[in-house]
Amino acid sequence: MNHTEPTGPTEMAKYVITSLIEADVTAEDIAHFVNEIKPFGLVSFAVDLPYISLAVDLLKDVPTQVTAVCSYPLGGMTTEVKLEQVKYARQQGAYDIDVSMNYLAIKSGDFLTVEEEVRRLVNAAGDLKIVVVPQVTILTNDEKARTCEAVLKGGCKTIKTASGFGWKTEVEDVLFIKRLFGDAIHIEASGSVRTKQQALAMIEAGAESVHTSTVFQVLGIDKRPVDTEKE
Amino acid sequence: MTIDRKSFARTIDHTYLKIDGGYTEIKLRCLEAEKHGFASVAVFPVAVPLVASCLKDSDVVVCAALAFHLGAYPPEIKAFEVRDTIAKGAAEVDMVMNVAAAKSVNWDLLKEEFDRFREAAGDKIAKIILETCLLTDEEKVKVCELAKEAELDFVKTSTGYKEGATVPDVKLMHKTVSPQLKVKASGGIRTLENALAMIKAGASRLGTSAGVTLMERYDKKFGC
Repeated sequence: MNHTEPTGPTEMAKYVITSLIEADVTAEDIAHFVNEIKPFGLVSFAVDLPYISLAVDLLKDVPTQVTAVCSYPLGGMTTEVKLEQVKYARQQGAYDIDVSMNYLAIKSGDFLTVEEEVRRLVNAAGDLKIVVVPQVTILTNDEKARTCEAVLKGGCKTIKTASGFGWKTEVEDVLFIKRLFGDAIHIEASGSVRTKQQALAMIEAGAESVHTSTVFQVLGIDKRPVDTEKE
Repeated sequence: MTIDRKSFARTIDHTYLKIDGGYTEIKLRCLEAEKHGFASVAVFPVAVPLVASCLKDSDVVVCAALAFHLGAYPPEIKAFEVRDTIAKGAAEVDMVMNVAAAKSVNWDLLKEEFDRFREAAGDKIAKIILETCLLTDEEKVKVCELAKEAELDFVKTSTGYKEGATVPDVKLMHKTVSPQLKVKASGGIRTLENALAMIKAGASRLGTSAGVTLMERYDKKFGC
């Protein structure tokens, strides 16, 4: 990839997705956070299903999209339940949805089940863009390759590497997937991207964008040191 | 001896909620649960059909972990998941409550969620997970009262993905819901002493991945 290295916060923002996903996040928290990120023109803001329409409303005057999450981050829900969530996110106006995969199937080498789930999700999504989370942290290189293959066969072109919540992505993961699939797959690097330097390394490795919860550090506005060991 | 071996084993929901295992790990948990006479094998919904097939001739039932682990789903999606999981073979459903609703003092939303949970679960066992580490004592009591009003079967402390069960929480929950509802303690129960303390505090079910070790320790301590 021939990215010109972004420098200022406005340039960085074109690569950055942030999120507010936790069990106890309230509507007030969402409104407060949107107020803080709104001026920067981030790619997207990811929220749990109950807050999609609120986020869409709060961000309607800026280009920042709203991302929903599905069976996140553990992926243990059935395809039928995931389809209900996709339908809901679409109705609520999300731009895309990050879907945690069936890791039980992946860890069993059952990639047909993975491919079939992706196909059903893509078919049900309509305008809503499906982004699949392979959770690279728990996968061998062979499993990473076969999961990405199943995702592409199922008709999805974008992956978000890991979910955060303790699951991390290394620069090597992005390089490995890029080397195998090139431009056929779009990579959102996610999980452990906490500094501007880490974000730039992911972009340099071929990621189209990065997910981070420490958005102001990644934009280069907040210069305080961050704990890079956290997810 | 506080509790006999068979009854102790029947308090245990043999739990596998990790994401890095395959079908083999699930089958192994089923064999272990049958061998020891645990109450259930507790898994994510994706594993329910496999567990149901492994346990079809057994007294051990299928327990499913729903809305994991954040609980942040609209009530209709949660009710859909309850029906879907029961249709696939679950006899017990453990669902994470909407913690944010409690934090926003939106008791009407929680009441709706609990009522729809009860309706969707029908005559199956419905357990609501509080994620107690995120709640104040006042919130825990209020949620337990709502669970009682909705006639759920169990209030359960934790998902295991954050801080786990504590003896004071189990006592508080038991005091609030007993005798109509039961209490399930879960998260971080790894020693026999801890397990017995939870039972003494009022838990009639334990959610743990350490069931096999607990039985070994039980036999060692009580000389079975």
